[in-house]
Formats: sequence, C-alpha cells, structure tokens
Amino acid sequence: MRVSNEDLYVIRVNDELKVSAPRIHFLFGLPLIRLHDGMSVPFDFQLTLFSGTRDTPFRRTVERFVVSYALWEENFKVVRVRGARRTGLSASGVEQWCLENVALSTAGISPGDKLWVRLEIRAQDSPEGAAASEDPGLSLKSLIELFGRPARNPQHWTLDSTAFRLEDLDR
Amino acid sequence: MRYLRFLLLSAACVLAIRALAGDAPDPDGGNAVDEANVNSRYTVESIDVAGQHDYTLSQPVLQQIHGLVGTRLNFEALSSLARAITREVHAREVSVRVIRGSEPEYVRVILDVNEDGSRFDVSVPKFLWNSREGWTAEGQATATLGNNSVSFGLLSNGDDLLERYAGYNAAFQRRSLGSDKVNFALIFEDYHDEWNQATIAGATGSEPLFLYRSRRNVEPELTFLLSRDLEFSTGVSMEAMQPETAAAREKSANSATGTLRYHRTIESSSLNQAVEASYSVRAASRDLGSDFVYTRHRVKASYTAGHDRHQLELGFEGGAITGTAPMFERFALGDSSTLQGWDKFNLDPLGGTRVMDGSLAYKYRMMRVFYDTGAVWDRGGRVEARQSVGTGLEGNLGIFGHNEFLLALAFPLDQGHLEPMFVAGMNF
Repeated sequence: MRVSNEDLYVIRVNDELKVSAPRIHFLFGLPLIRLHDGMSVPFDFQLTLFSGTRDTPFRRTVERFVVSYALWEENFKVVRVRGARRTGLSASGVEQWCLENVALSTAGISPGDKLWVRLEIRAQDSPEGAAASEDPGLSLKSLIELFGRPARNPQHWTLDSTAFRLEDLDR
Repeated sequence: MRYLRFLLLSAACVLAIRALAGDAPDPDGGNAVDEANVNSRYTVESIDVAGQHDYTLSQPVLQQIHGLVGTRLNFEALSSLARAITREVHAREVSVRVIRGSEPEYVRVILDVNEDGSRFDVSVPKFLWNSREGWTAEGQATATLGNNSVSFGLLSNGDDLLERYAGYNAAFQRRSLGSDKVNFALIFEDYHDEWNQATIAGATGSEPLFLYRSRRNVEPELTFLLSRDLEFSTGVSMEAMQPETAAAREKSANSATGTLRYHRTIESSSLNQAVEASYSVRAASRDLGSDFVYTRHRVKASYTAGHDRHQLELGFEGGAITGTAPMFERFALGDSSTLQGWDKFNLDPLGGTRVMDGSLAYKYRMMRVFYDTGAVWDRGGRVEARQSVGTGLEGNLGIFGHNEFLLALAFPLDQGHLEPMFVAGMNF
C-alpha cells in the first residue's frame, strides 16, 4: 500500500530520526481478525534513510513487534522482540508505540545533506498457526499454486517522506 | 572506509530482507510465541475440532486434547496437536482459534479442519506373513476430489477366507449424497481363487461344494450416519463365480446387505475405553436372480480399556448361515486374528455355517499376550471348542503416522502336539 508523502512525518529526537504516521492503521483486516481469534501477529517495520538520491539507501533499521489481543480484557499487548513490551493498549496506542520504537541514528549525516525516509510495515503470519499445515512436498499442483497465487500475506504498507535536511528539523 | 560502509549496508539489507520475508531470528528463543501472546495466561476450558465432516480421532490425539484441557493456553502444544490432526484426517490445514470461555480467564480452543480439495493417498492396509499360509498383501491407491473419491487396490489374500483370492478391486465413494449424513459407495471386485488341497478333497464329498476359479462382485451401498456413534449401511451384492471346469455354468450369489455399526470412546483421566460392535446380514434370494439362496448373520463386538501403559482387549464374534451359501461366505477360524495358532484347514477345511469365538489380550507397552477360543461347525454337527495362547510384540513405529507392526508366536492347545505358528505383519 502506498500513501501520499503527507502521511509520513519525520521528527528529530536528540540524535535519532523518528516518524509518525497518524493516518496509517495496520491493525486492520486479516491481521485484526487473527488477533481477535486469540493469535499473535508479528509486524515487521523497516525504516530506510536515503541520502543524495532516492535510489541510494544510506541507513536502515528493522524492528519486529508481536501484537496480541487479550480476549477477556479486550486490549492489546505488544512485544518488541528486542526487549520492551507494553500491555493494556488500544489499537491506536499499539500503532503509535510501535512507531515510537523505530528510530534511525543521525550519526554521520551532514546537516545540509538532502534526505528522504521510507517506512515499510509488513504483517506476518501468526506463529501459532505457521506449523499447522502439512508440507505436501513438491508437486505440479503446489508449483502452480506457488507461482499463480498472490502473496499469502498481502498486508504491506509503504510510506515515503518528502525531501528534507537535518538542519530543517527542530531539535 | 567506503568499502566497509558498503559491507555494513549490505549486511543491514540482508537482515532487512530476511525480516520482511518473515524469517527474522527470534531472539527470545524457546517458547517465544507463548511469552508474546497475552492469551497464554488463560486456562483452556475445552478444545473442539470443527470441520466439514465428523472426524474419528485416534487415542493418542484424543489423549493429547485431554491433556491440554484445564491447563494454561500453550500455543506450541496446540500447534503440535494441529499438526497431528492434519496428518490424521489428511487435511490441508488445521487452524487454531481461541474464543472466550464460559467464565472469566477461561478460553475455548477451536481447531478448524480445512480439507484439501484434492489429494492422492497410497497405503498398504494389510501386509503379513503366516508360517502356515504364507504371504498376504494388499495395496491401495485413493484419489480424492472434494467429496468424491476413487480407489484402486491390488491384493493376494490367503488369510481371511478358505480360499486364497488375488486380483483387484475398485471403488467410487461419495461422502455426501444430498446430506452429510448419507454416503454412497460403488465397489467392484475381480479375484482369481486358489484352493487348499484339503478343501478340494473335502468339497468332492457326498455333498459336493461349488469351488470356483474366479469371482466378480459389484456392490452399491448407502451408508446413513444415524448419530456420532452409530451408522447403518445397506446395499446389494451381485457376485458371479466362474467354475473350475469349463463344462459347468457360472453361478451367482446376489444378496441384499445391511450392517449396523456402533463405536464409542469413553475417556477419563485414568481410563480410556473403546467399544465397537456391529451386526451384518446378507440375504440372497431367487428374487435377486441368485443361484444360492441363504441368509448370513454376523455379530462382532470388542472392548478395549487402557490405563497408563496397560491395555486390555476383549473380542467376541458369532455368526450363522441358513440355506446354502457359497464358499466365500462360510465361516473359518484360525487366521491372523481369530484362534491364532490353529491352521484353519486342520480345523475345518470347508469352514462352517456356525461360528463363535472370543479373545482376551493384555498389552503392556509393546508386549502382548493373548488367549483365543472358538468353534466353527455346521448346523447339527458337533461343536468342539478350540483354544490357543500366544505372545508377541505390537506397536507403532511412528514413522508414517500409523504403521502398526505385529510379531506373534501362537500355540494351539489340545492339539496333541506343540506346533507353534509365527505371524509377522505391518500396516503402512
């Protein structure tokens, strides 16, 4: 999913670049159905910084967050695989917390360099159900399915920022 | 420096691609799924298996389900259970859903069985060697498309009947005929027959019996699922037998058939029990164009109780034929499952019109000991009960899911001399 660059705002917090995307809602559709079925859903976030041209990645960071929905309390838990976790969140609270925990270092960037940021979010299959199907082995049918079907998990969002310079951002 | 920056960026790209492809390393390790999922703190109230059809699950799977109820929600164990059910019912996928239970902090687990639209299975339902009767082997291939399946089998069986029959069978089955409660099957069999010398000698006696060199059967059958435990099948069997000599004419045994089957599994934390019972009747008459006119009744029942690694099995079988039945309908004892250790051709090379047998077996882990008793006779004839004992190994190798193997040494009692029979077999 590609949205207009007005949907991604870049902010500088100390020596890090962070983003906010108030109009993007990734707790939606099939991932939300799986969450309401009691499963957890991993979301992979990738934040890429381009410098000079939009074709040259300068720095990249990847974070995985595992979200689950408490059936009785009716709120969300999110676990960042590198340690931090939050419970009792609303859907928008999860979305905001995930974005707050994805950051790029500004080290090595000149204040006048022309920069762009791209945010990619991808929902993965629930780990609880990943092993519940039998691998039928290689067959003509499986090859046709493999090349013919769309991606199993189409929940994928991409947002690009407008061009900016570090010196333009308020510290 | 520029080269080092390129390397670092490349490594970051690889990690990023791996993460976006879904195979990012899980730094938590172990049971990370359960730690991440907030619902793992709830207790499992029940586990239901839902799907298009009723599924009969094996004891190990039922035990696995039983072991998870009442415990904290364990997603790794549920995945393992879902895999086992996928294998057992040949499903494409078994997905897990969790919903609220009837009380706070309790949840219900629903395993949705998603069947494959089509599949192809090959199996060897019977493969055994008997030191007296030699080899018996049956192979079967089944292609399933939705509710329809077509199967083809090749076999040579010297174990079940008084004849060794070899040839092929084919069947078409429709699992749902207007309703999920009604199944339809059309079976075709074509076998060549060989006879034991003792049977040939006995059949040419004062009342000669019709021995055939081949037989062909067409059997349409409807099955009604009356309840979860009870089903009733009815149909027609049209069997044509070609005589040993070219001068004699072909004979037919056309009968109306009916079978009532009951199966019940009762589980508790300390004792698992299974009861199976069936009654079948085959009635051949001139109205169906049959040369043989007879009615054959057969009753079978078994009870199994298991506790920990101990298992007790009780079996009973009785049957009676009125009228004149063809050889393949006559009762025989002394094979790999009844009156083990006895040679059926020593007991009665022509079989009988009456049969009664029982068995008692005790199994501890793979070790099995058994006692069989039974008698086969003709109406008005002398009833002589025979007995046998034996021991052996029986178990599941667990390689392909249900490959039971059997090694048994059985001793006929009251025979006057000790002549053991050895049986080795396996199901694939």
